[in-house]
Amino acid sequence: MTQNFKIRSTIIFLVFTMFYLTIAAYFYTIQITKHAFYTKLAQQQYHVSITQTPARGNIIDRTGNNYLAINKDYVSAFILPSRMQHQAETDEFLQKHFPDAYRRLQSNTHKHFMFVKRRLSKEEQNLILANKYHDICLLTEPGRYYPLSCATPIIGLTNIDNKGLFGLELVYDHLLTGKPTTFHLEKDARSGYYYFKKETTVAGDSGQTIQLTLDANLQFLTQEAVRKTVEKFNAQSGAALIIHPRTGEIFAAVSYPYCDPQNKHTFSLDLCKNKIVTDAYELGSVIKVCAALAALEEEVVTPEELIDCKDTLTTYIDGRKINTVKAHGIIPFTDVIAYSNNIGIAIVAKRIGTKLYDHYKKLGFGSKTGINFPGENVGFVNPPEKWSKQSIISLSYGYEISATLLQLACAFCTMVTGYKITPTYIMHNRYDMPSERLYSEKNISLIKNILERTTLYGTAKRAAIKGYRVMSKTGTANLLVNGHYDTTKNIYTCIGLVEKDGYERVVVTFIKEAEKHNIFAATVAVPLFEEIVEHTLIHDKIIS
Amino acid sequence: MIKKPSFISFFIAVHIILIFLQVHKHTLFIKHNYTQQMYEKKINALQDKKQQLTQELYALKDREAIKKFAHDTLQMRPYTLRQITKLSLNNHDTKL
Repeated sequence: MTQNFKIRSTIIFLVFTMFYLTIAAYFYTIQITKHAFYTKLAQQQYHVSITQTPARGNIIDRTGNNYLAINKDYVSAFILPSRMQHQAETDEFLQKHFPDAYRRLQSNTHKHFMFVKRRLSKEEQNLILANKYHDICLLTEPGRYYPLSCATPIIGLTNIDNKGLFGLELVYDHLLTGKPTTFHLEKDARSGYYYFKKETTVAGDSGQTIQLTLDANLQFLTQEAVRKTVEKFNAQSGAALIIHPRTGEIFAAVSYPYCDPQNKHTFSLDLCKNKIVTDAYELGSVIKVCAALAALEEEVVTPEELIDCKDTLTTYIDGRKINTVKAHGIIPFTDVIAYSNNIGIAIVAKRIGTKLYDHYKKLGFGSKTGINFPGENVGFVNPPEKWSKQSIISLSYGYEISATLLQLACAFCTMVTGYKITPTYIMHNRYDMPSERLYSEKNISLIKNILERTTLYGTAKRAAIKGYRVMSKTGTANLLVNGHYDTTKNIYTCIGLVEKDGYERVVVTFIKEAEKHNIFAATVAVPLFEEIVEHTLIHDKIIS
Repeated sequence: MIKKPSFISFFIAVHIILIFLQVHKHTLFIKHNYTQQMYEKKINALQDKKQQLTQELYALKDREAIKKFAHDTLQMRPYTLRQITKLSLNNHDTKL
């Protein structure tokens, strides 16, 4: 009995000893040998790192009441090819409704993830949701919505990954996108839905809202006016710009036709361009006012000086043929500009000589305006070293010089204020006024009188609005086609300043290739100018 | 003089209370943390809803559609500068 008890006690002791030794060995393995492994495992179970991308900043107009670009969630469909459970049904569904995705799936059967289609329409979403025997899942992705289509060439678009593609969306992509924030979370092990602790490991920035100088209502009204004119004359395209002559704020900038961001089938590179900034043309007679200012500044002419315009439609200067639209005899220099006589301005330009080039450069032609916008065209001014005998004549009435509408507007702002401006689409709290005067106050006043006379008695009569001081100049130019000026293809421009009790706006209108021939800017661009100025004055409540 | 057994009982009791308070504090922390997260989720959901409604609002505020409605249905026509007269305050006073 005692012997048995001893044996049994020893066995039990040994069993327990073995048991505890096993536990101790196991603990040793967990705590010492595989310490790092289990620590990592525990961390993976309870700790998680999340990177959160902030919502893209909105783009608003100058009033702050109208959004020009807002965020919108789009639904996309995806599958996990390597984990499909209803292969046959999914294949059949895809083949029927998403054949492109089906083809991609056939060549990527071992992929972990594949988009069926991104940015689904409402009908496509319902179609996927209605069918329950397939492996197609839905997810939401951030995207953009543009409420004002006619501002698209300026605002631009984002691509399918919500990155700026062109326009201001591209220029200010870094501000609009913001910076992602990384959080370290201590998870709830049961649901994984909540967390205990949240620590910011990398602090990000939210996407900034950008306020533009554009006025959404004015932009729309301007677009409507341009569209109507383009349709009326069956023209190829049109454009208009409203700018503040002292601050450079752009209130409206329209290129018509334009791409509709809601309808991607209408997209083409040409329609997405902000042609006011990207396209340069030889603008014709509208440039005469620049030559006139140069002549006044160089003191080679006075406004009252009589110029012999030969009373003919065609003449020769230095053996070079010059045509003008209407014959004038001996008229004051003011009327040379008001009636837009090519012969008269060419005679005066010859007195300026190569300094005309310096004045054009001083007015900003052939250089960037300083606007922060991609794809700006610098234009061209033929330099004196490349001049032929014709060059000084051509330059005086807007040939051998090409400029964008924005360059023309900036030059005009300088001509009516005396100061150089930097145009902008972005709203600032304060605009630094340039200190260096480029042209004397006397000559600015003279040129404004000449422009006013052009509106009252000259080629831009229809631009006159009772109760307001309107100073404008028109231009009709032939387009260069395959190295030759095509007289059947014209561009029509009108630029002017409207003033009333300290209120000032510079408006540019432009129509390209009207179907009807033998018409001039006075018929095409001036009525458009008048309509836009009227809209602007009513919109800004400047009533006489 | 406190007797030794009483001191031990008091010591243990104080510790039990401290442990209880610690557990209670942690429970409250988790409770409020969960509440906070619940509200955060609600805020996110409301922000999403706001964004969706803003987008729908701006889709409805389509200027071309409004203009077409005003023109075709309400028979409205744009007015010109000539049709607008500025009434001065003096004239108004005279009439009164």
